[in-house]
Amino acid sequence: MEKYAKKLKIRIVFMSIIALCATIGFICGAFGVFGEVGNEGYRDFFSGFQSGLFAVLIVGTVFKIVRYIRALKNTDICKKIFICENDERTMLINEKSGQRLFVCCGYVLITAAVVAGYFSRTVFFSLIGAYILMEIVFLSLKAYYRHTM
Amino acid sequence: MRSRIKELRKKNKISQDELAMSVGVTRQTITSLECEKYTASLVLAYKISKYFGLTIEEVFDFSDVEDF
Repeated sequence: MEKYAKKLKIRIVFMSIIALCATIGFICGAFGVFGEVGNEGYRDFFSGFQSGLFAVLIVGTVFKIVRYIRALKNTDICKKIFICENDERTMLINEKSGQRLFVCCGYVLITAAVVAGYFSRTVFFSLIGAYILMEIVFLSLKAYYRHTM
Repeated sequence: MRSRIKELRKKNKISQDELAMSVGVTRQTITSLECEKYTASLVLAYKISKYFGLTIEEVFDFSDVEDF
């Protein structure tokens, strides 16, 4: 469990860096540092999308940081988190549903969508559509394996 | 694979949560094992058997396993 506690400390540092970067991104987005694109409707949507993305990152990372800090203070919570992460059935379900592949592709698609959003509206919506479809397939596969295993 | 986990658990008055925490898996994994939906790995089978103080063969039924 000591090794896992060290791992959690490293994760806290990593998450804090992400949260900080996302906060800077959110503030920059609010002040229009990233520049303006397209017509007014699309511009609002795109900046809203970016702000939403940063907000989700901030909330997600802060939630995880709080969870990990609580785990470091309480060994029971630490053990529960460790078991949840290392449960062999859960790991098999994740492996079978291709979690790593879907997560990696998801990050690439979202990043590509944000970059492409500055150049083409069509490509932006296509990439977001592809990401949503991919998430639906992934969640369906996960639900199927959870039900059958 | 059939197992005697549920029977042994009830005999020893242990909840799924307690057993799960002791062998390092989630409660859902114990449920799946009891419902014969999931086959435990060798390590998990060993941990469960050790928990009840029995051998793997005494907890898990290998009669369905085909010989080659």
